[in-house]
Amino acid sequence: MSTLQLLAAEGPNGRFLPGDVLEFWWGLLAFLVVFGLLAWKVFPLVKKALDQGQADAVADATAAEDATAEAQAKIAATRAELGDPAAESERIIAEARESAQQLRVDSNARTQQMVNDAWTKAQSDVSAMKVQANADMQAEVAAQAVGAAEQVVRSSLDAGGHGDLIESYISQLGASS
Amino acid sequence: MSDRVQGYATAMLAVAEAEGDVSAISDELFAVGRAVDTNDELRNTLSDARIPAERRMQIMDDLLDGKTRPATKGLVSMVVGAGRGADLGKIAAALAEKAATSQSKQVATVRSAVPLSDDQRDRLAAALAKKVGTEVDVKVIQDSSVVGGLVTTIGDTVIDGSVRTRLSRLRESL
Repeated sequence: MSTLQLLAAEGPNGRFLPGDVLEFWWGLLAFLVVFGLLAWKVFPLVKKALDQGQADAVADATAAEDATAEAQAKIAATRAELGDPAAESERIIAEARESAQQLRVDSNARTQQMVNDAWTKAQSDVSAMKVQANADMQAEVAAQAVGAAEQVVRSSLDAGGHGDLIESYISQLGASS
Repeated sequence: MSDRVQGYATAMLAVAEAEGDVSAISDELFAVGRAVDTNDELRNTLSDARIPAERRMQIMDDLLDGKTRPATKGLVSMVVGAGRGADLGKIAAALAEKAATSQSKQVATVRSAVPLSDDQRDRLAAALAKKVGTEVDVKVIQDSSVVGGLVTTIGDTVIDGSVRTRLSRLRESL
C-alpha cells in the first residue's frame, strides 16, 4: 500500500496531516525516542565498528603492500643469485672440466716423478750393491788368501822357523833401543 | 784391579818373600793363573759354589802335583779354598807387578807360539830393559794365535812382532 493510499484512508482533517493529529505526535515522539536511543547507543557502536573495519582494511592493505614488496625483493634477489641458469651451468661445467684437466696433469706429473725417483733409487741401489759386492768379494778373496797363507806359514814354521822369528824380534828390539 | 785382588797379591808376595824365591813362585803362579783364565771349564769349576771347597782344592792339588813348588801349590789352594779361584789370573798378575816393583822392575808380558829358552828369555829381558830403561821381569804366555814371533806388553806399550799381525796387515792391504 502506498503512502497516499494510507493518507486517504485516514480521512481529511483540513491539514496535510493524518486525521488523528495526536497519533502523528505520538508517532513522532516514538520515532524520536527510538532515534535517540539509536543515536545514543547503537550509532557509536556502528561507527566504531565501521572505523575499526576501515582501520583493519587499511592495515591489511598496508601489510599486503609490504608483503608484495618483500616478495618482489626476494624474487629480484633470487633472480640475481641465479643469474642466467644456462650460463651458470656452462660455467660450472667449464670449471669442472678445468679441474679435471688440472687433476690429470698433476696426477701425471706425480706419477712421472714417482717413476723417476724409483728409477734413480734403483740405479743408486744397484750401484751400491755393486760396490758392496765388489768389497765383499775382495774381502772374501783377501780372507781366503790370508787364510791360505796362514795355513802355509803354520805348516812351514818348525822349531827353527820359530827360533829365527824370535831371534829376529830380539835383534830388532835391541837395535831400536 | 779391586782391593781384594791387591790384598791377595800382597799376602802372596809376603809368603813368596818368606820362602825366599819370589821370582820362581811368581812365575809359577802367573802360569797357573794363565791356565785358569784360558780354560773356561776349569775356571767355572773353581768358581762353582755348589762344589765343596775341599773338592776344588783337591782338583788344583792334583793338577799341580809335582809341577810346582809346594809354596806355589799352597798359595793356589788358599785362593781356591777362599772361593776366589776365578780371580787367580788377576791375582797372579797383580803379584807379578808387585814382585817386579819391589825389585824396581817392570813386568813384560810376552806372548809366543812356542816356549822361550832361558837364553832367549834373558836376552829378551836385556833388550827390553835397554829399551824401557829399567830392569824387566819377563812373563811368557804360550799363545798359538800368535802363529810365530812375539808380542810384548809393558804397561801401556805393545811391541808387536807376530806373524798374526803381519797376516792381518796383509789382509787389510788386500
